[in-house]
Amino acid sequence: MLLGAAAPLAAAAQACARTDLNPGDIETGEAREPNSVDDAGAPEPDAQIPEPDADVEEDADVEDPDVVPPDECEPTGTETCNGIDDDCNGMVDDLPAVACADGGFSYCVRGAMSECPRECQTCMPGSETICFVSYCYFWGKQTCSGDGKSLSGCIEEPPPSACKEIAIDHQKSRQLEQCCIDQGHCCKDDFDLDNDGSTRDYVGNCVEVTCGDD
Amino acid sequence: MRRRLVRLGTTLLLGWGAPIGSAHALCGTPDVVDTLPPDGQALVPTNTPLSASYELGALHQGESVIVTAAPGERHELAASYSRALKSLVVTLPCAGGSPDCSEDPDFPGGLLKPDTEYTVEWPGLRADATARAGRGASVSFTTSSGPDTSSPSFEGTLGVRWDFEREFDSCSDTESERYVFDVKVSPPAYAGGAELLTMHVFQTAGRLLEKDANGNGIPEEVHRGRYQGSEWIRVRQPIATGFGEVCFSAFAEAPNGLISQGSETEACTRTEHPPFFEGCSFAGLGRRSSTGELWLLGVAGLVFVRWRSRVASPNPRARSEPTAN
Repeated sequence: MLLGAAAPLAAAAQACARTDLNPGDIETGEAREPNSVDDAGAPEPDAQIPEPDADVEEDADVEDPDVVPPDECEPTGTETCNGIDDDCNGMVDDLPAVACADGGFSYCVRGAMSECPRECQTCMPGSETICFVSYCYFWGKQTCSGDGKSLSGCIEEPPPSACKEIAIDHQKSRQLEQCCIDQGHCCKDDFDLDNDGSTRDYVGNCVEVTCGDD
Repeated sequence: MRRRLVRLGTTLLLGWGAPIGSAHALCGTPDVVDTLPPDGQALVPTNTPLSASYELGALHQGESVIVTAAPGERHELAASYSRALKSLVVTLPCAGGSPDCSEDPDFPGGLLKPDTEYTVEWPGLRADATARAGRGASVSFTTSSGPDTSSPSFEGTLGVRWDFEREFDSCSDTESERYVFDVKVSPPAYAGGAELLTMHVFQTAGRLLEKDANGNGIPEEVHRGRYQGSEWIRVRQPIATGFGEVCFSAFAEAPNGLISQGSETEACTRTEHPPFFEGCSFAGLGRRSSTGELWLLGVAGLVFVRWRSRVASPNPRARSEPTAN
């Protein structure tokens, strides 16, 4: 599934010309940036970044901004966030940040305004969701990681007593998912009970899991 | 001996079958991870805001920040906390130039006093009302002769390399898998001191980025932290977010709020799918492999003890077997 999803990225890949390098290439410094220096390889000791030991790749083919020399630049109006130096002041998208409702700012980055910062990327650290498996208890739990960036795998556990009979009779089913919702959990929407066309999202009482996004 | 073995086996099996719980209690505390200005910084522009970054989202219950200007008095100042940024920012007296504000000599015009040593005591915050407070911090710095209104300069990202990491996460009690990106940036410069710059890194391409009306990815901020003097900035992304073609852009922000150029450039890489080798344990993906290893150890122990008891058996036939062959 993941590999299949990579296909639509072809356009993005073309927009970003790449030159894959091996770690050795990094050390020898095939300089592609004008001010490249000899230390273009390993991080400095105080950077507290250990040297990666495998499959290290550097792509120093950085796409340059769309800057036109001032004598050739024709102002097209006031500066807007479009990746172009509209007012010919020699700076691309030099726009102030826009304050976000929940704190932080949205910035103009490569011709597009960035998303406002979120309290958590995927889930609240330590929060739990209910998931369903096809064996034994048919019920499980996922826990959000400490950095809030992912949920754990589904760890099987017995369902609550209110859903126990349903799990025995119907196993992994719409009925069991509905029971999960009725019990006030945040539940994996394997049967699309919210009719949004997705079985990858979560339904039920998910406010404390998704930082209030739902 | 046999009774002891049965007890050991029972304990191990019970341990194996026990429900996994209490993950919440190990989710860490919101400690202070960095401050602006950092400890020991000299020549800090007087218009530098005082802020602290916390490791986790926290609940700010009105905890104040104690600021002392040598040899002046100790001030308990109010602060505002942003859960989105995980940062606490001090509200200096008369900041914003309120006309009816009685000016404090330690904060003239709502700024820091020139050529002065300040000490700031940052509070530890709590993850929620019942949790214990995280670690605070005490920092000292000296100010320069005045404010700074210059922009930082920064050329942007120069490259990116990636690796794969699998670490035990005490919060979920499982192993979490991450792509680790080291984004190489040009050295930023700022008249007030590059150490005071905040680096912002954005993911500008990736399969899970939100799309705008034209189908272009909306940049998402994936790192925000003070410039540490390194040309590499580390970003950790979950597998779903970091797989495939991934690009990053960055810029530097001065304490005065001015931002550099540089975000027009981007550095890209293509990650490969990580291996899902789980090691020699009975645990499946995402399970507690340590329990599986313990179980395996227990079985091995039982076999070993049983073998030992056979070897030590007073049965003369058993003892004579090796020499008989």
